[in-house]
Amino acid sequence: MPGNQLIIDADGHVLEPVDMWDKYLEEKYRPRGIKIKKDADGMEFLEYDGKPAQMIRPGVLHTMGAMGRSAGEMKPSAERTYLNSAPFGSMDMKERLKLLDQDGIDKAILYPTIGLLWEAEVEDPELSNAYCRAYNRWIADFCRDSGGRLIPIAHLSMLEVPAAVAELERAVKDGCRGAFVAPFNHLRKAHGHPDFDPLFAKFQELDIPYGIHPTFEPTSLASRRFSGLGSSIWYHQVTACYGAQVAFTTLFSFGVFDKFPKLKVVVLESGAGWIGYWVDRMDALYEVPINRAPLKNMPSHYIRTQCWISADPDERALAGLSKFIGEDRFFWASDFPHQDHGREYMKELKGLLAEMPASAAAKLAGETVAKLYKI
Amino acid sequence: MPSKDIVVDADGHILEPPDLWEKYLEAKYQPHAIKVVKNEKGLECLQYDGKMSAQAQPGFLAALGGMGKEQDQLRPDAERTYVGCAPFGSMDARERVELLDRENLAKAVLYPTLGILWEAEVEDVELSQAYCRAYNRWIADFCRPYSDRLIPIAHLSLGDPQAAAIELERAVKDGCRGAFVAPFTITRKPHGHPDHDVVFAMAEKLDVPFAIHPTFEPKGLNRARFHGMERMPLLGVIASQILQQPLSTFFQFGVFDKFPRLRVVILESGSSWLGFWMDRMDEGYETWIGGTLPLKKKPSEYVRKQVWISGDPDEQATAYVIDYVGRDRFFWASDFPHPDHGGKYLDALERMVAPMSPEARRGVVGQNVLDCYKL
Repeated sequence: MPGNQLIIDADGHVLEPVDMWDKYLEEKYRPRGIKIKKDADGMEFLEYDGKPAQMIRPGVLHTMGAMGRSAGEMKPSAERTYLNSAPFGSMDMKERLKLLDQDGIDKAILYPTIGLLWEAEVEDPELSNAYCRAYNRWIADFCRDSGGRLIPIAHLSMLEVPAAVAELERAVKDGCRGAFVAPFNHLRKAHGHPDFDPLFAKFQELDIPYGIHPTFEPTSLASRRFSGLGSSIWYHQVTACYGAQVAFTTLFSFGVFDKFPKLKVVVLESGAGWIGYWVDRMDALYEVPINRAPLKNMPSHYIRTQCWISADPDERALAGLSKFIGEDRFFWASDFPHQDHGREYMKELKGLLAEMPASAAAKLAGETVAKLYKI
Repeated sequence: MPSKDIVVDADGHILEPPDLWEKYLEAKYQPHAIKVVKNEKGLECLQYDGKMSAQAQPGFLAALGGMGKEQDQLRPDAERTYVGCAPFGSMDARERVELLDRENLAKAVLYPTLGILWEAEVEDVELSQAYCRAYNRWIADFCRPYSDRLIPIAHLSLGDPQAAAIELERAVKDGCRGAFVAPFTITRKPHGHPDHDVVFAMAEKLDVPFAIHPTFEPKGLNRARFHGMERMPLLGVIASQILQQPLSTFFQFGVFDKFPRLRVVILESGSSWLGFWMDRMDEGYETWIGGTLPLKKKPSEYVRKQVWISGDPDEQATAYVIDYVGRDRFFWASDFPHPDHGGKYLDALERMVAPMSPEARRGVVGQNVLDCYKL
């Protein structure tokens, strides 16, 4: 990699402090905060709104920062905790800057960890918005003195549109450079639904990107195609991109890009190599006369002008595909410190960039994300 | 198309005669046959086992051969019938060969039309097997006079794997050159489940490909994420997800190690996503999660040896991933005479293969099908 090349991690994670919600929630919500507790066997568990979390088993919170560890280190444990297993750079701003230096990364755009878990199990709109506000205040503070190298992104709940609109405005004033939503909501209202137009309008007005990031999801949304795959971790891992793909597609189904021609949409942590197929197939479906989408242009037009997609650095299919889609559509992301990606992300990135023309490599490495987020 | 390249349609369809099941079912099942009947408005309906199909809307049958027609020609109308609207070459073997001649196609691998509708609504395992046997006897007879041009493929139902294996052996003896199954199973057992090993063993022994082809699906398998998804434009793009799920179960259960000569074919769901899926499957394999998989090698190694995929000719992205995935992995298909793809498939094919090297082009337009099916 050329020494002067701009390198930006488009999607890294922090591990939130254990007492973050106690400190950052507005006072009236504090008794209902997210807490880490220990059960009778000494195993840590998460609590939302006074109830133990169902989707994350006791004793496994220590795996939240387990990037690069072995299967044996993933077992439930009373000795290993969320805090004592957090790797260097996952919880401390200055450490994260050192880690970026070690990796040769200029900047990192940051997303939460516990913030990706709770939404699947918390259906109360008011509390959901309070949880989001608390995280957003904290992440802005966390990044504030990083010299512009750590980029805070707000988390929004879709359950109450006016609250999300207000919070987006507040968070951006406070320093956040964009916001993300989960690929689902408990209303089961599609992301492109006109009820969310005020939110898109606010994103457009503030001129910041709208991101869709995968999260834990309610079990009622799980595919019912097969039974008996409950413990098949790998299968669930590879298919975890489906929610973001569907949520993203509904923006086209409802003509969001015509209504908001300056809206910028980012798809995160769902791979990028599917976008070539998506362009071809959406364009083909648009031309079939039955149930035609309400769009002024072909779907591919909006992908090439208003959409960006974050790739895993080991996606070798991307080298060819970026010639087709356009070399200014892609980012790369480390997913640090999460255990579903490998620790060799810099090596993988170098391998991928080496297969691309210099201009495409420079854009993928950091230029595109810097331009989009204005960082 | 350069005339020296052999051009083969990897997935064309026929319209079965409306009385196929009455004629070809074994006598005891004939009262339960698939029938085309008229409702009180004179619109044709499909009947399975004495019950009206809930998924095939009245009047829909006449649209099944409607490739290239406008929407107003596809609307339900008592004047339009399944047989009356069947285009040249869709119901008659001699006509189909004439169509191939006009289009300069060497061969067409043939799949059913009514046969990809009924399985979603017939839960009787025994009757499902009988429906499959009837179709398989008929398609073998249909192709027999032109066996070097029209390639019959058997329909199997995995609801009773023993029966499916026996039927595969019978059908191949009768002339079928491979078999296909739906992307779901009546039992909801994943395709790669060891209960299906008997079918894979038979396909391997007979040296014929095992394909997965999209079909109508039982209600509720897809589109649970948002309310109203059934009617949302462009959501048909998730065809890739529908086929990626069964394909992935072959890796989750280690099918390719157990059956190292098994050949798996993915049909009518796009093709350029295969590079993305290889990357994604490998990525999970290379973390600790890979240790939970019963695989000797990383998933992409099996894909490059044992998986083929058929693309839509209007896919532009495939040319940009083909050198990465493998030039010997891709087919193209017309989908004739179905209305969900455009009629100008040969023009589209020209555009699809134009950026490819001569060697890649030769494989995609026909040679790969000949090799995979040993034609």
